[in-house]
Amino acid sequence: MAIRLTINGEKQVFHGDPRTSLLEVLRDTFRLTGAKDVCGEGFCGTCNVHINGEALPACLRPIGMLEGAEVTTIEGLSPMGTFNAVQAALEKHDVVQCGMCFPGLVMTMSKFFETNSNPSRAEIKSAMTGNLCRCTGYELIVDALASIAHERGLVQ
Amino acid sequence: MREEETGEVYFANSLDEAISILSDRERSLVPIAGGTWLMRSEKRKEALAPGFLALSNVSELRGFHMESNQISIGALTTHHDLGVALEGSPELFGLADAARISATPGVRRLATVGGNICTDGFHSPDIATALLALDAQVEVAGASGTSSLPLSEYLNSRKERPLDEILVRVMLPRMAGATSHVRLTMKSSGDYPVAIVSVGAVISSTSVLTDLRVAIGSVEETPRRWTALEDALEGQVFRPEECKSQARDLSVDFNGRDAVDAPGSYRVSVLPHLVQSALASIFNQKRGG
Ligand SMILES: Cc1cc2nc3c(=O)[nH]c(=O)nc-3n(C[C@H](O)[C@H](O)[C@H](O)COP(=O)(O)OP(=O)(O)OC[C@H]3O[C@@H](n4cnc5c(N)ncnc54)[C@H](O)[C@@H]3O)c2cc1C
Ligand code: FES
Ligand code: FES
Repeated sequence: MAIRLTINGEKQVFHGDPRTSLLEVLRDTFRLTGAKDVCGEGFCGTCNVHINGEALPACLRPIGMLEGAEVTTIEGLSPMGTFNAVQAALEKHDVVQCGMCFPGLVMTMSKFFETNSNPSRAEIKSAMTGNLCRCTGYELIVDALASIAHERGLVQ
Repeated sequence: MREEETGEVYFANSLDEAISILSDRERSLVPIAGGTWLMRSEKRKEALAPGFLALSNVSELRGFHMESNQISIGALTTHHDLGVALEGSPELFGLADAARISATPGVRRLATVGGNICTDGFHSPDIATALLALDAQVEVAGASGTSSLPLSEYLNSRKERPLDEILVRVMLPRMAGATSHVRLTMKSSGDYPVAIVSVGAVISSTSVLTDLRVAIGSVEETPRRWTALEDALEGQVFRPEECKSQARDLSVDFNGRDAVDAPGSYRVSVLPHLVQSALASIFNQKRGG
């Protein structure tokens, strides 16, 4: 079965079992390994990508349900060599440790900042609840993300 | 990667088409809504269904309508969309909370009300438990026609339901009073609740509890109403410690489910405290309002 979809702005065709998860397709067929395969069942958020404008776990989406979909992965989030505000804040605050959780976290929080440009710390934490990090203890991530609104002069 | 297997994903474009495809047992397609349960089959050491019948194009399963005497919630409504739709409805605070705090934000954008109710084998459904406390009815459609039945009856008959049946929508009578939804998780979010208590009640100006509805999820295999506690507390003045103590006495009613996250006895032992907090929450809502 052939499934046509757009990944990072490029038209792609997948041939194979339509029940295969988008995560497997991204990593094994298209070699887009930014989305990580950790729990494989929706708990950790390391595989989050944007599907038709929503941040969703790629491990839970059968590719056969994505005919015509627009998918953006961490590789296609910002033009090569540039960072969006979320990536820049995490880099500037030197938050990243092993880095396993960060592609998914960046995808989740980039979408979140599109819909809420002036979040409180509580809102940031609540938006991050589906993204587990085993290294940082989270507070540094929240500090970095809160700085985005601060720098935009938005935070109370 | 299932390279050699040739699975199928077929999109039904109407309810009639979905039912007729499900009636064709040669195809053995399984309806898929959000996929948050079905896509994890192999993690549960179950075979992935040979093919999926995607329901997402079936317009009859969509929609949220709030009328003066009833609320209708389409089966494809996601947890996220339900949370948004219920903003500003204080009498449905419990259901709104169930929709807003269950699972994770990404999962809530996928998982549907229909999937939450239809998943036999998922013991901790927040939405189904909250709906039980609201006296929900479900509408189902199959080759033999359309009918409605109480949610409790549906939940208890899931193993025997016809394979061509689709859950179309949930109907809630408009009720007086307030509701609340309390769940105990081991972490603050993301994992399944060890126990869920969803309650609805009218509290009079003299703090008398009437029309009490207490639904319990995750403790046994299937969520259910705690009718013995409802009967014991009906018409009583709300006193938190007494409610807790009555719940403790009556919790022999439950045969807790053992699982890796908690033994059954623990699930039962936390119920009195959760009941007390759920009732206190509606009492506080009343005072606040
Ligand atoms: C990490 C994680 C954590 C979660 N935590 C929670 C939680 O704490 N609380 C909670 O309530 N939920 C939680 N869930 C979500 C849970 O999986 C869903 O609520 C629900 O059980 C599945 O909904 P779905 O639409 O994804 O169903 P699907 O996976 O699409 O389907 C599930 C079952 O329902 C059937 N089905 C679906 N829709 C219909 C219909 N309209 N008619 C007939 N049959 C139908 C399917 O055939 C299948 O058997 C969690 C999910 C994940 C991945
Ligand atoms: S790998 Fe998808 S959520 Fe963990
Ligand atoms: S930095 Fe290692 S898991 Fe988050």
